[in-house]
Amino acid sequence: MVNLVTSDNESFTVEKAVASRSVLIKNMLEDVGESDQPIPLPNVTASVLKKVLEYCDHHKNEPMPTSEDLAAEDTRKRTTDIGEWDQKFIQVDQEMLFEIILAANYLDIKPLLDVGCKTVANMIKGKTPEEIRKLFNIVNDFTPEEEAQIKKENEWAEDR
Amino acid sequence: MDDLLHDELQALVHDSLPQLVHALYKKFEQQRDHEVNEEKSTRAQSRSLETCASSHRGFDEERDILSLAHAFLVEATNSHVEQRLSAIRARYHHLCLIDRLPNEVLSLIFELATVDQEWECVIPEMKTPLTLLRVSKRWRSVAQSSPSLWTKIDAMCRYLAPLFLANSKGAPLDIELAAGLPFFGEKAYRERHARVYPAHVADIAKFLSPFLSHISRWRSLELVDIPQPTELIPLLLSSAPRLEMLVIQAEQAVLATSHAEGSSTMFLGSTPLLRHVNLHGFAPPLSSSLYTGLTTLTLSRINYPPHSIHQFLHNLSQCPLLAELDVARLYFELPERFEDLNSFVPSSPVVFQHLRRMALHGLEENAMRYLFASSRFPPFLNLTVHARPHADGFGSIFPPTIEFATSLPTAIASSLHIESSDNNTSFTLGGKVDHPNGVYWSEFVFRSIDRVGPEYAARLFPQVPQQLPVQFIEKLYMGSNAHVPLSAEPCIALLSGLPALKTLSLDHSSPLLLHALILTTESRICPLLHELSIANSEISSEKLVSLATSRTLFDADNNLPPDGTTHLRLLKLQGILSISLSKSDVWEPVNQALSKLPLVVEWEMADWETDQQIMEAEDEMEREREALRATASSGE
Repeated sequence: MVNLVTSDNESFTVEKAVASRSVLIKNMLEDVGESDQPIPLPNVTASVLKKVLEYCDHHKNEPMPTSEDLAAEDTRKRTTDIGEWDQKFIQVDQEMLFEIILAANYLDIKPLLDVGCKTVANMIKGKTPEEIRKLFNIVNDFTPEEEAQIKKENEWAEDR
Repeated sequence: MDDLLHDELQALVHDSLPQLVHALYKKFEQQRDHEVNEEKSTRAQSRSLETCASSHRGFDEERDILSLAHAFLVEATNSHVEQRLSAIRARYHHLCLIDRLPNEVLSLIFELATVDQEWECVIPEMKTPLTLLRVSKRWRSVAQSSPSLWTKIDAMCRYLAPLFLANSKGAPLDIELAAGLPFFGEKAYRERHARVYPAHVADIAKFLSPFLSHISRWRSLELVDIPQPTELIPLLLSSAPRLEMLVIQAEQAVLATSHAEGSSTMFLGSTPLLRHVNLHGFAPPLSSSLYTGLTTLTLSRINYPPHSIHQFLHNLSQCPLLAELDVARLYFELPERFEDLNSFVPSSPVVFQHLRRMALHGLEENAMRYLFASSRFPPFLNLTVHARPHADGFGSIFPPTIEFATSLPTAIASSLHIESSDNNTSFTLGGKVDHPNGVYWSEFVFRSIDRVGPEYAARLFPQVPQQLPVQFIEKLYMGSNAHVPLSAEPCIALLSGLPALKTLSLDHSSPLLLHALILTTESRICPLLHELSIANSEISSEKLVSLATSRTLFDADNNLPPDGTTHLRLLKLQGILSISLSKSDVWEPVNQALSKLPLVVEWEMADWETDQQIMEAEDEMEREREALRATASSGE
C-alpha cells in the first residue's frame, strides 16, 4: 500500500497498482524503494486526489502507455472520442475539470490528461471566439489596434 | 453598457474635464509665478519697457502650458485606466479557470479541438485554429506556438497559406484539394466552396505555388478531380523525404496513359516514407520509385504499355508490406491467349504476406489470370473481384492451373452467398472463411450487359462447383431481389455440385427448385441438409409437406437409402405465398401436417404479409362501419 498526503494535509492509503498509474508516483516509489514514508503531493488537494484515485482505480488493470506508444501517437489519428465510463467520470463542474487536468499533468497520468483535455476540446469545437470567452470567463484583452488587425485578417479571408 | 449610463458618463466627463484642466493650469501658474517673482526682484528697473512683449509671451506660455497639461492628462488617464483595467482583468482571470492551465496543456487541448473536425465543411473563419486566434492574447500566442494546428491546408485555407506556413513552422504539411462535400455543411461553406474550388483545380500550379518551396515538409498531398494532372509533373521536382501519402485523381472521364520512361522524375525519385498511393487517371511510369515500399495502393483508369504487366507485378513485389491493393480499369493490352503470357509468369510466385484486402475491378481477363497465376495470397485476405461485363465466369478470373490451397486459400469458403440483382442480370457470389483469427471473405461480381440474366446465370452457376473450391461449403444463401425468380435449372446444377451443404436458405426461389429438393430415388441433391429456410417463394401445401416428409421420414416405401443421407432438423418458412400466415384456413392444416414430422418448423410473418393483414383489418373495419351506418340509417 502507498500513503499519499495532499496539500490540505489529508492522507490517502491506496494500492500500489492504483498509485502507480501516476508516472510521478511510480518513479518516486522506484527511487525510494520499499518504504512506509508518506508521499507528499503539494499541488493536489484532497477533493481532487479523491477523484483522480477513482480514475486510477477503475483503470488499474489496463496496460500503461509506453514511451514508444506516446512517441508514435500521430495527431492526425487522434480522436476526441471518450469511453463511456470516462465520460461519466468527467461530468464535473468546470473548476473540478480543470483541477483534474492540472493534477493529471502534475502526476503525469497521460490517459487522464487526455480525457480531461478531450472534454475541454469538445467544449471548444464549433464555437465562435465570443462563445468560447463566455463559456470559460475569458477576458477579451486585445487592444483596439489588435482587434482591428484581427478583423482585417478575417476580412482578407472573407474576400476570397 | 446601456445607453443611459453611456450618456451619463459622457456628461460627467464633459463637466469635470474643463474644471480639472483649469485647476491644473491655475496650480501650475501659481507655482510658476512664485518662481518668477523671485527673479523679478532682481530685474525691477527694466520691466516697464517690456510690458507689451510680455503680454504676447504670456499668451504663448498659457497655450504651451495647456498643451502640455493636455498631453500629460491623456497620458496619466491612459496609464490610470490601464492599471484599473489590469486589476479588473486580474480579478476576472481568477474566475477564468482555463487560464490556470500551463501552455503545453492548453496547446494539447487546441490540438484535440482541431482533430476530427468536419474540416472540409467549415468556412475558414470557423476552423478551430483561426477561432482560437481571436479569443484572447494568450490563446492567440499559444495557438501560434502550436505548429500541428496549422499543418492541414485545404482549398479554402489556401488564401491563408502565409499564415499556415508561418505558424506550422517546420511541421509536416498535409495539403488537400478535394471536391469536398458540396451538399453538406453550412450554406456559407457551400457558397464559398462553389466559388473557390473550381478556380483552384483549374489552375493547379497557382494553387500549389506557395507550398512548392516546402515540398520537403509535405506529409500528404491529395488532389482530387484535377482536369490536367500531367501539369503536376514539372512542378514536383524536389525530393519529398516526409511524404507518406499521395493521392492524385483526375476528373472521372480521364484515362491516363503511362509511358515506359518518364521525361522527368516526380519528387526526384526520393519519397522514402511514401506508404499510400492513390492514382486515378494519372500514371507515372511503372519504373517510378513511387510504386515501391507501399502499404496501400489504389490505381484506376490507366493505360499501361503493352505487356508491362510483369513490370507491374514486379512493382508490387517491391512492396513487401502491402496490406491493401485496389485496382480498377487498368489496361495492359495483353495477348488474347493466356498461354502467350506464360513466359512472363515468374518462376517463383510473388508472395503477398501482409495483404489484407484486394479489389480487382474490370481488369482484362488475362491480367487477372496472370496476377493469380503469379502470386500467393495469405489466408486472411478479403477479396473482391468485379469481372468485366458479361465475362465468361470464373475461367475469366483464374488461370486453369490455380491451386487454391496454396495460392488463394481465402477462396476455400465454408459458406456461400449468392444474390442476383438488377432483374437477374447481376450476380454476386460471396464466400466466407471462418479462420481462427476472424472471418474472411471473397466476393465475385458478374454483370450481364445484354439483359439476358437467366441465360447468364445458366452459364455462371454450374461453373461454381467446377471452378471454385467448394468441397467445404456447408452453408448457402441464394436470393434475388427481382420479382421473377431465377430459373430452377442453373440453381439445381449448382446445388448438385455442393455435396457438403448442411444449411440452405432460399429467397425468391422458383417453385421448380423447391420441388427438386424433394428426395426421390432419382434426385438426392443436398443429402446432408440439416436446415432449410424458404422465404418469399411459392410452393403448394402438398409439395411442401412432401418436401419435409421426404427429408425426415426415410422408409422402404420411398425406397430411399438412408446411408449418407441426413434428416432435416429445422425448416424455416417465411412469406410462402399460398400458405400465408394471414390465411389461417390454409396455413393451419399445413402446419398440423408438418408438426407430425420429426423436425422443428418455424413460421415467420413476412413484411408483405403484415401489410396484407393491415389492409385486410382496415377493410374489415370499414365494412363494420358501413354496416353500422346502414343500421343507423334504417333505424331513422
